[in-house]
Amino acid sequence: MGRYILRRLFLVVPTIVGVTILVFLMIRLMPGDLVQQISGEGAILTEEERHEVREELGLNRPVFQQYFVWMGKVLRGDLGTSFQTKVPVTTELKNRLPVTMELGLLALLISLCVALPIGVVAAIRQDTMLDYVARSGAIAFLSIPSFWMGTLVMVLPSKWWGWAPPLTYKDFWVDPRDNLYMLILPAAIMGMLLSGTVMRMTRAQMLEVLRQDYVRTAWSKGLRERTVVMRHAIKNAFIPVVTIVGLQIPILVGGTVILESIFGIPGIGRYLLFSIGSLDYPVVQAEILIIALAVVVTNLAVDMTYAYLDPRIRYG
Amino acid sequence: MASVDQASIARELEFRPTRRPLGRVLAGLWWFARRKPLGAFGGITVVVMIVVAVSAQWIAPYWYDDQSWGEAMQGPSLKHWFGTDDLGRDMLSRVIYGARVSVVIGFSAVAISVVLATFIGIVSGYYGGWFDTLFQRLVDIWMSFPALVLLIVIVSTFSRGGDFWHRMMAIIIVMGIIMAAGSSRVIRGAAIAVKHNQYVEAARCIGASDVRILAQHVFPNVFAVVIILATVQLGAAILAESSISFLGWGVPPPFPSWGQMLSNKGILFMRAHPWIALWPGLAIALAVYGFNMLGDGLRDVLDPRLRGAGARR
Repeated sequence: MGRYILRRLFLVVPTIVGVTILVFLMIRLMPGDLVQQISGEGAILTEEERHEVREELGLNRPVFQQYFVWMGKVLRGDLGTSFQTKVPVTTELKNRLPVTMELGLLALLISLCVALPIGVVAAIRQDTMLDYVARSGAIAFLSIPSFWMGTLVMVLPSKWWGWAPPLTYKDFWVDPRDNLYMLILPAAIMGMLLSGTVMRMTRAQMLEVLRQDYVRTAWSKGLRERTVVMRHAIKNAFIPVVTIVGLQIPILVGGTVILESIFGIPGIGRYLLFSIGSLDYPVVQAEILIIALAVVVTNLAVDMTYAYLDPRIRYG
Repeated sequence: MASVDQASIARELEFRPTRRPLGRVLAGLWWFARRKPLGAFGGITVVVMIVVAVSAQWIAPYWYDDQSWGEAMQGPSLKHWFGTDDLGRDMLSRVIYGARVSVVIGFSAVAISVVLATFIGIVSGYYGGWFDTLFQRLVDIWMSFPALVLLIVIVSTFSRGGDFWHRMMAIIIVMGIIMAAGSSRVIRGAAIAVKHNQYVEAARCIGASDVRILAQHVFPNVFAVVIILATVQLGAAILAESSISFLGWGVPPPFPSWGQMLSNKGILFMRAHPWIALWPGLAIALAVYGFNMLGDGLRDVLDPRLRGAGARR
């Protein structure tokens, strides 16, 4: 197990370095006049003034030098300062990251509560009416675009009942009730999207496990269905489902980008979209780094759990 | 005597005359529809969507950009079945033309993704070694990115002109490459499983070259996985295209795409006229639902582990 962890940890470093290089180059290739954006749309700048602004932002150096300067700062815990707001990126992230994490965790929780039972039942009763209803329901969840659902939730209740979702964000520690009141709807929409994937995975795994010899043995011993499913099948079927949680993180991020914009939630998703639009290099770099780290660390944690639960992985 | 015996054995063993190809295909489809009605429903939805996209100019009652200011923001009526938008354009016609963007981008992106993923997955899984290690690390990097953000950044980088075709090509290529990363890993897994089979070993023993083994033994055996992936990806591609269109990075107006129809006017005018956002959203949901259902049905039929109804005992 120790060697497995070391090997996996060793692979994290090149992945993260690769992500940072990629985002560093990509954001610099994006079209748009950064200097003009920073100085304001109407500002008329001479060539010297442009040069000065670029010098101040450190953009006159060769790209690889900029990268190493940035990387050096990151390693010391300094993620830079936003070009647009002049606020340190760490301060912004400290405020916004908990909001997005809360939204993501809520969504994940909702999705698991919905998907796991449905997936198990659909597999046990494969090709029955129940299976059809459960599957088509979950796949419908997967197919409904979250931005459409978000828009409908913003619009229809206000037309029909004169009620609209709250748009002022309250911190969880200040006002937990209002905080949850605001986040529960976007979290439910995102949870719906995620539950489709989890349900399909659970169903597929359950079907596979239910065909295994030891389940047949359990049946032939005359055990009750409940015992066969709960004691013998579920435990083994849920192991691969754990991996899906790791794969959900990028989907969660995509979901937060859209839903935070619609519901006016001050998380990192909305901030990222805004920063890409305004070419705020330090913010985009820092956010992608954080997201990539979250993905890699979650995958690592998931794989470790997986290796712990299933010894075949460790020695494979 | 012996010859008579041989003749009767031959008669016994004789297969029924094979049906014509069309008959075989139809019989296969009928079999699929009876076994997997939901999958068949998905298949029909997909076919309808393709037909609508291909024949848009004949079935749409109006041109997608025909503006009629006097008729702006009308509800559904006999003249305009889906109502009109803020510029008085017929919503039904715009939804019908919008299917084109989804179909073209969806199918082209998935084609790129499938070809890339199959090649990388099979070669990477079969050969292993440094090629495999290198590619898997690249896939790791690729998959650590939130796909939507990656799509937005690269598409806006490579469609500087902002004209329709540039933007469309950029979306197709970038989406294809992004989707290929994830699927190549699945296909690699399938290829690794196949390469340990005895028939691959046997082929190697009789001196078959690597290319022959890959083409004749590995590829046909991972093909089911490829088909399932492609079907599910089509739904995902349509959803991704509509998402970036919604955020304003998709194909530029006036050509309609479902996501863009929701972003441009939908939200602004929806409070008063909800149908403006209702139809494009329904169209996306139905199309993605169709592909997902079809993929699910195909997986159940093609994946030998899920075949049969012996789940309970």
